[in-house]
Formats: sequence, C-alpha cells, structure tokens
Amino acid sequence: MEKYWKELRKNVRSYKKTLEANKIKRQMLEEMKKHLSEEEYLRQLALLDEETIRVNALLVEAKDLLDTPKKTDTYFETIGKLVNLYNETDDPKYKKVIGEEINNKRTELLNAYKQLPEEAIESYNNLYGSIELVEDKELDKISKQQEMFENIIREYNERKAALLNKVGLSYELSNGETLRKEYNQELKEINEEIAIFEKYLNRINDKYTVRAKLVKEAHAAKITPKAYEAIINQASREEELNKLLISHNMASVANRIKEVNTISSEEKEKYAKKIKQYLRKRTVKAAPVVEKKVVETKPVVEEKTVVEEPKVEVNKVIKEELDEPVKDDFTKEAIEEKIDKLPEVNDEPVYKVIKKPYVKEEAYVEYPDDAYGYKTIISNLVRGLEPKKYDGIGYQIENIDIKENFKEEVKTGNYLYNLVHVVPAIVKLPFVGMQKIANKFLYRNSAKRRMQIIKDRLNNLPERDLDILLKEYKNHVEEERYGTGLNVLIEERLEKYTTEKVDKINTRIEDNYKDLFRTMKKVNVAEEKARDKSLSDDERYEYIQYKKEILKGKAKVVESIRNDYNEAKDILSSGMDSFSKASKSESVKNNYVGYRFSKEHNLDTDLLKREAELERAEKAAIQTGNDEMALRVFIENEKLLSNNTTIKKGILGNRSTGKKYYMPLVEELETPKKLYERKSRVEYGNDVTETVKDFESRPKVYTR
Amino acid sequence: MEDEKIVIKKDGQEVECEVIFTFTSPDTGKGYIGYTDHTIAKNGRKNIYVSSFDPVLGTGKLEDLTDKREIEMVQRVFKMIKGSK
Repeated sequence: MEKYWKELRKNVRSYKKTLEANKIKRQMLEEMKKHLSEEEYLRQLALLDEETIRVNALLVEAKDLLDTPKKTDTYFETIGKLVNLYNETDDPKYKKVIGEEINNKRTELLNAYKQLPEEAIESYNNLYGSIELVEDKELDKISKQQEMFENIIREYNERKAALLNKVGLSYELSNGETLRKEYNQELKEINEEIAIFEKYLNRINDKYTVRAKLVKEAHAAKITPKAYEAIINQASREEELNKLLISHNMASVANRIKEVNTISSEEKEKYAKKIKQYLRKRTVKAAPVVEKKVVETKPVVEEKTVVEEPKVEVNKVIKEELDEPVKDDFTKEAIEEKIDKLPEVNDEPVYKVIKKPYVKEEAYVEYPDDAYGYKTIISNLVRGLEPKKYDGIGYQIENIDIKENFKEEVKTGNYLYNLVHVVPAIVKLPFVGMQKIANKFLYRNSAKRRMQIIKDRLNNLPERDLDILLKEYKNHVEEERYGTGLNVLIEERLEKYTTEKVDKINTRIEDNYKDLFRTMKKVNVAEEKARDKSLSDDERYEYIQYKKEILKGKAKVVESIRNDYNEAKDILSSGMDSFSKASKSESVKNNYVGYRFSKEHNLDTDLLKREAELERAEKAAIQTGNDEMALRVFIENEKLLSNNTTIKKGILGNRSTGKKYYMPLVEELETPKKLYERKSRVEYGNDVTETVKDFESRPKVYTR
Repeated sequence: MEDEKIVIKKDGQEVECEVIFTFTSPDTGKGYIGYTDHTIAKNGRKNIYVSSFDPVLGTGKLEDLTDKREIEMVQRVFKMIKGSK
C-alpha cells in the first residue's frame, strides 16, 4: 500500500520538475528566436506545449489520487457514525432514513474507489474493515458462548502442557514411573473433558453459521432476521403438523395448538376445520362427547353415560361444525393461515462439570450515582471467586501428612516442644518420603490467584468507591466472620490512596506557606523603604500601594492552610488509622519502640494563653478579610510553635523532646505503626535580595 | 507415611530421627519435613527439627526456614494437630 503512494508522490515530483524545465526551455527558445527560422521556432514551441499539457494532465490525475485517502477517510467516518446510530435506535422510521443515507454514502465511496487500483482497495478494506450492519442479538449470544468454550479448552490445554512438563521432569527422578502413572490418569481425564467441550463448541459453531446465513439472507431480502426466521419456521411447523396429522396423533396436534397462546380464536377455528376434514377422510374415531344433563329434584339416580370431559377445547369446536361439507384436497397448499410462533425449544447443551477449571468472570455491576455503598463494592470485588478463610494470611498449607503416634502424643499434653528451624548436619535423607511429597506437590495456586484477582480489581477501583470504603467499611469490619485476608488487601490499597491524597494536600500547604513567608518578607522590605525620610511623598505612596497589592487575598490563604491541614489529618487519623485498628491487621509492640512518642512535659499555661490570643486574632482577621492582620498573626503563631519544638536524633528515629511538636505538613507519624524519620521543615521563602529585585523590577502602575 | 529415618550428626555422633509430619506450600513452592530424635532439651522440651526442600529440583538437600511466615506456617500446623480429633 505504501509503495503505491510513494510512487505516486515520486511521479508528482517528476511532473513538477518537467514543467519547470519546460519553462526554462521556453525562455531559452525565445532567446534563440533570432537565430532560428519561424517554422522551427513554431515546431519546437508546439512540442513544448504538447508536453506541458500532457504533464499537467498527469499531474492533476496524480494529485486527485493522492487526495482520495482524505475523501475516503471522511466517508468512512460518516458511515461509521451512521452505522452506530442505526444500531442504537429502535425506531423503524428513523432506521429507514439512516439506512438510505448509508447507502448513498456507500455509492459515493465506491465512486471514489473506482479511481484507485485494486491493491489500494484491498489495503483499505484491511485497515478500515467492512461496513456490514449486525443487528442480531442472538449472534452476539452465540459468539459469547463460543468464546466461553474456547477459553475453557485453552485452560485445559495449558494444564495439559504443565503436566507434560512434569512428565518430562519425572524421568530424572528415580521413582518416575509412579509419578507418570498419576500424571497419565490426570491427562486422560483432561482429554475426556476437552473432547466434551469440543463437541459443544462444534455444535455452537454450527449454530453460528446457520444464524449468520439467516442474517445475511434477511439483509438481502431487506427484512429483519426475526421476520425471516418466522417465515422459515412457519414452513417447518407446517411440515411438522402435517406429519402429526398423518400419524393420527390428534392429541399431540391439539396440545400443540393449545400451547400457542398467540393464535387467535378465528385461526383456531380454521385449523379445527382442517382437522375435522381430515377426520372425516380418515375415519378416525373422535372422543365421545356427551352433553351434561341437569337433573332437577329427582331422587332416583338416572343412568348416565360416562362423561369424559374433553381435555382439549378443539373437540367442542369440532362438535359445533360437524355439518360442514368435506373437502378432498387436504394438502400443504391448502393450509393458508400464518401460524404465530410456537414455544421455542432450548437447544442449550446439558453437560456435567466435573471440575471448575476457570474463574467465572462475572461482569462488574454498575450502579447509577448515589445508589450504592461499601457492600456493593465488596461484592463486586469478590464476584466469581470463593475466598477461603485463610486466604491472604500467611502461606497456604497443603498435603499435610502427620504420624498418628505424634498426634496422640501432642493430644496427651505430656510434652512441650522446641521448634528448631536450623538444620543440623544431615547424614542420610528420606529419599522415598521426599519423592512422595514431590508427587503430591501440585502447583495449585488457587488462593494466590484469588488474592491477585482481588488486588487487580482493587487497583482498578475509581476514587468514588475508595472514598466509600474508607468512610463506611471501617465501621462494619467486625460484621464479617470471614478471615481478614480481604481486609489486608483493602488496607494496602487504601493506604496508597490516602498517601496520594495527603501528598496532594501537602503540596498545596507547602505552596501556600512559601507564598505567605515570601509576602511577609516583601512587606517588611516595603515598610523599611517607606520609612526612609529622604523619599518623596509619591515614592512613599508607591511603596504603601505595593504593600497593599501584595497582601490581597492572604487571609484566604491562611484559612485554606488551616482547612487543608484538618482535612488531611482527618483522612489519616480518623480514616486510615481507625480502619487499621478496626481490622486488627498487625499487632504493635509499643514497649521500647513507643518510647519515642512519650510525653514528658507539664502543661504550660502561659504558652497556651498566648496561643489562644493568636488563634482569636487569626480567626477574626479571616472573618473580616483583614489580610495584613491574618498574615502577621499567622507568622507569629508559626514562630511561637517552632521555637518550642526540639527534635533529637535517636537509634530508632527522631524524637520530639520540646513542649510542642510542630510540623506544618501533615504526616501519619503520630501512629506508632510507621516508624520512619519525619521530613525536614519547609523552606520559608527566598532571600531578601531576591525580594528587593522583585520589587524594583515591578511595573510602576501605581498613581495617587 | 513410611518409617523412614533421617540421620543427623549431633555432638559428633550419628543420631536417627523419626519423620513426624510433612506438608507443602504452593506459595513458597517448597515441601517441609518435621523430624525428631526424641531428645529433651535443657528447658525440658522435646526437640523437633523442621526443614524445607525443593521438590522440583529433586531430593537435593534440606534447608533452614528463614522466612517468618514459614515458621508461622509450622506453628499453624501444630495448632491444627492439637485441634484435630
């Protein structure tokens, strides 16, 4: 495909070059006109003109061909959109209109195609695919069944391959024969199951081909597949009914009619006529029909014939119409009525599943906004799996074999044991026993796989679901009597999520801190400059105005810092921390390790008074929008806290020894779970020299 | 379980140990053997040795348990034994 276009572009370039060369030749001809005769001049001119005309025509053609990809691309796009509309709408009128437009676009596309060679058309079809409309849902169902069986067979083949590898390894072992016997048995079972599933797959494939043919024929006839199917079934039902009639099986015919709820009474009557005709022709004994007689106040029991109530309503109809004449032609053609759908017979295969080789991937159920909580999230996490109680907790144990003497000994309780997990010097090994363990050792990583699937699902959860889990699930963890393997995974995921959230908030706090400290420095510089007595009034006014401009909006910044800090702390301390406590995932030994967090000071009431004053001033400034006041109080507070904190280094990490532990950024360090070093303090602002430069380079816009 | 013995060297002498239990773990991919020489230590407790081996590579050698979770696994086996009837 690309070669074709490359050649085209080469040709275009060559045509352009020839045209340029012809121009030059023309100029040269005109210069040489004096030296040439008129005839020769005109002849050469004519030749040049012919060549230019020819080359121009070729150029135009080549350019058109080069432009066709763009045109076809637009056609494909529009057709694709129309096809999607066609598939989505249910209104038949709208579908007709869309179908007509699609056909129009197709004809335009084909006209554009005609200019291209066949190679280009083939490559286009490969790139863009066909534009056939598929509106049959049954085809989709069948294709899903196909996929299911193919997946099953594929998994069985993978197991087979693993077993064959083991068979190969068994030749290296001394006791490989016994191993191979077991493996061969398993292989037999697997082959049997594969054969079963392949049969069903073949049946489904046949179903698919039949259905696909039907859909194509329906499209060709410009009818929906349903209608086409009804027409086909009508013919098959007629054959079926005829066979039943011929076999004298009237009860089954009548029952068949009774099953069809959609048949109207008129059609039933008409069909009953046909049956009656057949009966008269074939002299079949009908069921005896006797009218019920109402006995009026007669003590003597009258002799009545046995009245068998007709089980079928058809007999009543036959009785009413016995006087009608008989027609001799009772053939297929005589049956004119259209019969509605009979109840469909399910052709789905019934098979015996010996083992469950695959995990049912049930679809993730989506709910509309504000319609679900943590229970739906967890049910979606665990869909198709059957988690066991010890999944995710420690390593799994299998194939336990214990000697009975030892069991009895343990139960008596007469002994206590030392578990020694350092191997002594071994002289002789139990080869036979170890090979037996190897025989039993099958790589059934069922629990691991379950946990991995849940992990992957947790990683793909949206933020909304994670928020719900963080808020709601921690309060309901104890309700579950299932083991805590699931909680371990949820906790891991939520830890990551909370750290991401807290990091974002911390960056915001950090930026705001830097902003405030820089503005404070700038304000101090401006005030110093304004105090200079040598300045004129205008200059002094400029400094004051600059100060005002810088301070705009700082009260809100202070407020946002306080709010962000509280938000992040809530996420960690009440959200994640309480979750981990509720789930009881790890035990924290707080003896010597917790010493780092011990509190050694008495309460300093003077310090507390000062802090309270600053707090009131800050809140008042925020409420009134006094930016300068908010900024100054904020910085006073920061100084007070930082001057009263001291951090000492220790073996197990840094330790706070002052009256206050102050850290602007939010970190989950108050919990003893995470024992790592705290971050260094925020760097507050730039140097003074830089602030002066900023001030001097500002645009001088301020006027009185 | 067959009555196979493991012979270890203890204080320069060869001592026969009886195999008490075996199990496998799909998470580690190893098999585990517990065996004892029925001797009692200074603390009055019976010694039980637990070692691991790799079944895929063959009957090579026995190895120590280094992972905490492996040791927890053995402790769980003991709990199971106590709880079984």
